[in-house]
Amino acid sequence: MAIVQALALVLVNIILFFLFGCAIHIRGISRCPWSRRPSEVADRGMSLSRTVFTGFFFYYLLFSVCCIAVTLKWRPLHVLTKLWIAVVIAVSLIGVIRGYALCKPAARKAASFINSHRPAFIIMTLVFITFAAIVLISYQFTLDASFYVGNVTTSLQTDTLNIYDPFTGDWQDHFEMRYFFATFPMNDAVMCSLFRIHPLLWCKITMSATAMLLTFMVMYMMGRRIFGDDAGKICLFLVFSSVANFFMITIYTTSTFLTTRNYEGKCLLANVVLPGILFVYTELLDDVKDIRAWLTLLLIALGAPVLSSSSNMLVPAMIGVTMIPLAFMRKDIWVIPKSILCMIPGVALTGIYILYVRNIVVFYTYQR
Amino acid sequence: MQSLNIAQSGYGYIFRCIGLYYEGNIYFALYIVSLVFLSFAPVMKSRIKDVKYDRNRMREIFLPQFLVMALTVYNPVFPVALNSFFDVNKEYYRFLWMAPVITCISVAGTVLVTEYAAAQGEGKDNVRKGICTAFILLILIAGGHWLYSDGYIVSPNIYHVPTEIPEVAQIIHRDAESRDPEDLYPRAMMEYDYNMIIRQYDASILLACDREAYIDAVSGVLDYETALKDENYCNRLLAVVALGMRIPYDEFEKGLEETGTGYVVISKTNDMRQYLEDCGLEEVGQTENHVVMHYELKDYEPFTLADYHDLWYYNPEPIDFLM
Repeated sequence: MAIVQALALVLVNIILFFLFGCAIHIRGISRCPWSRRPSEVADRGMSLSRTVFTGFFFYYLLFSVCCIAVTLKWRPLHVLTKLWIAVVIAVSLIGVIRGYALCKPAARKAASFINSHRPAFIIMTLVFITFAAIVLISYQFTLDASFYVGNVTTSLQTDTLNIYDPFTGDWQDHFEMRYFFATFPMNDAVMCSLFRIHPLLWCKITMSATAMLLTFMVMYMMGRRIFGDDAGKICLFLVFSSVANFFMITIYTTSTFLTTRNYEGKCLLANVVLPGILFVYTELLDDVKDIRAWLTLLLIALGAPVLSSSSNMLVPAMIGVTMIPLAFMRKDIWVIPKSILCMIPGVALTGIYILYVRNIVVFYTYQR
Repeated sequence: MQSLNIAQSGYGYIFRCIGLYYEGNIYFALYIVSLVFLSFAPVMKSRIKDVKYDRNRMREIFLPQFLVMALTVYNPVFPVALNSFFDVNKEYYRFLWMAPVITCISVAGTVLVTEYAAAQGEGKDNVRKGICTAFILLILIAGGHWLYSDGYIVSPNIYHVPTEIPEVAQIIHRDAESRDPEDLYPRAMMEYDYNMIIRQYDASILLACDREAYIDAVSGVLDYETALKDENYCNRLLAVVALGMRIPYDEFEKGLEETGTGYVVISKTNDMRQYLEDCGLEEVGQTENHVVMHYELKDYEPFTLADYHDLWYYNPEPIDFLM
């Protein structure tokens, strides 16, 4: 029964990401609405997968804002849980209201596309289920779980946020700044508290499956960008990438994180965030002034640091290596300031971490 | 990367880093080959009438990023320069995540099968595509390192932890509460695997040693002299439980007392069981493969959670999620 609950919660995660995505959905606009130039509005409609993708970052961004506020006031986990329930209900309602009209044509379009390419989608589904089942059923011993899962269990046990050391259980006099803004494990703790599920089940089944599903979704989105509506090619592309993910294995690769450490924010960084930036880059290749793509990039830059503190250096770097060539290829100087704007969150958090290392900024776990 | 140091490796660091990152597989070579193929392969219009793929688009997607990465991330000077500002020894390999290796290889494979292996006539077309797909899969498999090459282990339970972990936790709690009903957070010292796993299952068991200290001990940093000299008493416990060193009994007891460790969990095959019994530890329970031993601490004060009542204005109750 517990395993069914854990798997059902994958669906809950995806629905939440979708509703959060609906709440902030904007249509694809080629030109800035306030521009004096003749406006070319190219409404590309809603994409279900893209909505989940943006909703995922918006969800974690909002969570992080709530979590940091509660943590800085030393309030307990259950206060954050209550606050988060209120936020989720409010945003989901907006998502339902906004999504109702938008979803119908999008869902109809998606259903028609799937119907007309049924064999390819059956194969894609089977590939994903096989991939996920192999990974979820296997036993993996990973050292980092002692921190990431341990942190969730410790937070639930003590009803606190980041105050006790996950490794030993001892009280800490200050918050470890490396993990302070990466509130991903605290979201796990909130969800465990909300759904009354053991952290090991949530992390090693629900979040593992969610991470794999999101990875497949981003790969599918890339496939759509590259191969258009040719479902056969997208299917073959996913088959190759799935096989490759089982074989590009050393302790460092993105595939290793996807298959063995998929409950960590780093897995999402390596397999969803960085390919996601490449996906946005392909959109900008088609239209360098696409406001929706730029806002998505900004949302990724704001949401990614919540997943892992490594995002603080990798996201600005990835934006740099994709957007600098874009500026030259499309001969558009405005790409540079827009990219710099998207790099600011990561750079700023890196700066705060440096101040912490130099003992200039320290957040204590008690009132001084 | 723990095993590489930028200052020591100098400009050779990036090559060693790439070497370790892709150790035992040819995926980086496949990435370069795929990149060249997608960017420069001629469209063979003479053989097939309708080659659909847009080479310029492929080139725009994958090549510019690689070129910028070649100038920065893959540039031998870059890690050395970056390391002079920030210590990136452990994390530099993560920059290699930016290369879309799997995406690029999979796109190249798909283009190869659907555009280049295509032939006139449906039967011939399918056979050629099938052979090409099989060939690419063979390269991906033979050129890589299979995730489960050391054996596929089915998870023993839904929690993905060894079956004895819940039993060990139960034995410790039962014993601790029988001695002092207020002792809700007993502290234990365990062997490597269990030390890393137990708190994922049950965070009400405290540990004497954290992960880094344990890794240092098992990776050879901790020797006999350091274990005794060091004021970090956790090292005495590591010396005995993790490394099997027979340090003087009183030094080990001092380690237990100073860290407040009342329980030691070892496997039945651990040679130090007699030593622990000689130190005054007594068995309080066992599982199929592990023994739980208790040490009577002098002046033991049970661990309590920090009091945030003034801030919280409520009475915290831990949530019980255990089996």
